[in-house]
Amino acid sequence: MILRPRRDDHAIVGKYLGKIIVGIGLLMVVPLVTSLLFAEWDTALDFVIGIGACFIFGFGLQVICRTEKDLKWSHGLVVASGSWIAATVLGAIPHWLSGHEGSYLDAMFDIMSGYTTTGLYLIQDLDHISYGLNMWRHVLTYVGGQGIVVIALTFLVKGTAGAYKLYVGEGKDERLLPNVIGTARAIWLVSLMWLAIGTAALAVTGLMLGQEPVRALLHGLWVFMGAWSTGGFAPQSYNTMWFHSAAYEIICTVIFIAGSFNFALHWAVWQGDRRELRRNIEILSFTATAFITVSVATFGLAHLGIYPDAVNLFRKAFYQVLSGHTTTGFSTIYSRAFVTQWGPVAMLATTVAMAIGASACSTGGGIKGIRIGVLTKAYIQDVRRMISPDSAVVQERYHHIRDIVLEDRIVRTAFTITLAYVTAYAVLTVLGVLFGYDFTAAAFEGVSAASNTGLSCGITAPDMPNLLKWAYIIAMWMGRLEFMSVLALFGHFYAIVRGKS
Amino acid sequence: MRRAVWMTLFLALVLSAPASAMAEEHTVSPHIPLSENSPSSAELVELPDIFDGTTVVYRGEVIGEAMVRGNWAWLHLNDDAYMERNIEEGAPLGGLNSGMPVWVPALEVAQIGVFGDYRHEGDIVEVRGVFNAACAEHGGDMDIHAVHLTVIRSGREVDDPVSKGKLWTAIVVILAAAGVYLLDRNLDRIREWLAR
Amino acid sequence: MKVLTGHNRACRYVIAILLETAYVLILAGLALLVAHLALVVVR
Repeated sequence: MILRPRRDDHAIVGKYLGKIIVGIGLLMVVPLVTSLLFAEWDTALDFVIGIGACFIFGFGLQVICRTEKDLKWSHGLVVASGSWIAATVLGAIPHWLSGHEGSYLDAMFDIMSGYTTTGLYLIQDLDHISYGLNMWRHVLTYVGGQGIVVIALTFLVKGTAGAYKLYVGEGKDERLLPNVIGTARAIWLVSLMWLAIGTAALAVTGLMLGQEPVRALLHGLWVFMGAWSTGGFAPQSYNTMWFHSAAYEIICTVIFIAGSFNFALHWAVWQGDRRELRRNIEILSFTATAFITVSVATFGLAHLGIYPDAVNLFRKAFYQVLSGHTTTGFSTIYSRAFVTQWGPVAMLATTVAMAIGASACSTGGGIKGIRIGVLTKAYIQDVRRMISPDSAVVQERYHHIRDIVLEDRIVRTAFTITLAYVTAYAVLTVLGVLFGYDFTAAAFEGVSAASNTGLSCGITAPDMPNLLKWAYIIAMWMGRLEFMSVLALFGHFYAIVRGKS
Repeated sequence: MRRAVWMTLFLALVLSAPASAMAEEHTVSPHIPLSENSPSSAELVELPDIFDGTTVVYRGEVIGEAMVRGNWAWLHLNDDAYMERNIEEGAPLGGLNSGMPVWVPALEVAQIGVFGDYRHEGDIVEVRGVFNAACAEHGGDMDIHAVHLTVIRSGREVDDPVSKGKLWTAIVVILAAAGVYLLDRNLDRIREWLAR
Repeated sequence: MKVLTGHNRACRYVIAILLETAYVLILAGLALLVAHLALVVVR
């Protein structure tokens, strides 16, 4: 029986939604300060209006929704998925006011793409936007990588038992520490430590590559944010091709691969458990699939003979495919070059890499390494059962922080989510083909959106059909939250309409 | 059963929407007329094989900065809708940026006065050089190697004036936000006061 | 459990970051090998 939500339920959802949106408003202070520093007065006003709108919405909800009750599971899921929608609608205000977006839908597309660490963009004339707006694009992708809810948990929500449900709603389910607030802080500690080191490395490299100090620092910070959150935003329309440097590419690769690791893995290694880096199922799965997809792309490209020698071939194939595999979306080739230079083999290899994606509980998207690992183990177990005597007990284990015995329950969860991703990929591909795009291109772009990667082969542009923009926005949102909390939100609305009171 | 029929109808409707929109025809690669040897960046990206290794004349706005590496330097020339005028100056939206990296002798860079960014509309520069679809010297990047550059038109500072309407909106929104914040903070006290 | 000083902890974090970097460099080395192999096989 489905129960219609009562007043209390709405109040709890509203209260926490309000808190998270206030967090988004506070976040806009960073770009506001940036634009004030660079005397970009018009941009500063955009952010003042944005902050005001977030506060009116956030505090307003808290005024209306007064309750002392704690969150239940369904609330956590609804708040998590709902807050991403509200944060997108309100976060799009500065983008829209800047005048660089074709419509409010385009602005929301960019914001959702940022939060979900996708990296597709519709902002026009990126090369002439203000420092403040560029800061906002990258800050929201950095925060989106850690999770909007995680930031709220760190600063705004007092530690209650229900807080854990919010955290899970956002597609993260690892407890690094027994306490969920502690876990959120641990995630931030890892991210900020990397931020300091990564930004410094990129900024120094930028300086040596001939950038001015201020630009080198800002580019370093922004490229770090785009890489670590596996977001794929970059300050210039040329993306990371702007730098024309092997050193910069290697540093980016290190950062986005580290960003694609499970936070629980980071935490284990940081606690001194170095063997985890060799034994973890996600590392093994990632290494295997990365090796296969890079090899396929490399052979495909070698066959076409586009790149003159092995080093160039390696640089292009390794960077692009791994950027896809970690669901980052950085590229050192033009979007259209995927079609006009790379051709179907390398494109399909990249598409498969994007579909598999990063690790669970990371900043990345896609099906996730752990599910690929678990499903592979399940197949191995079945084959072993078939060739063993009937009386034998076949047990399969995998290592993720600790040794885990493979149970049907685990396989089932891995399978349902994997199937949801595959369905989303298929729907977007079919939709793209229906709109008249080439199959390979439609699959590439669709998988890129649903796996939160952000590599583009040229379909994503301001003049693409509106329906496709909507489809990509929804896919990015569902893919990032791993479907369950989005489905819970739909269930919530269903219950409002059809539930028994 | 009835539900299933509705679902089918709904699906059919959703799927037929793109079909009707297809009448407008959206193709990824629009037909681009080829000019003699001065292709646009879009043409270079679309047809890299045709132009690979040929000498091209290319013109665009200098963006961002010149990155000097020894005796040579990287420039990025955009030949998109914003090459003459910024959006801040009232240029209409004209799609995403488009441009090409150019490798020029570092000495030539001294001619450039203004680089395009938020505050500036950069110099428009013309180069004549060899187009590489996948440059062997530069890690397979697509680029143009030029020996000379000519500044066609000098850049200028761009003003982004603060609009009055925006200023007033900001003031009203911030005051309203402060009001709601204070209301949230003192709601219990207000309720007590009302109850009295 | 041994209580670690702040200095020790920072060292461990840096070592962890270096380890993760090393992992990526090994991957890159493998990819470079594949690229050489690919060109040899295809030509």
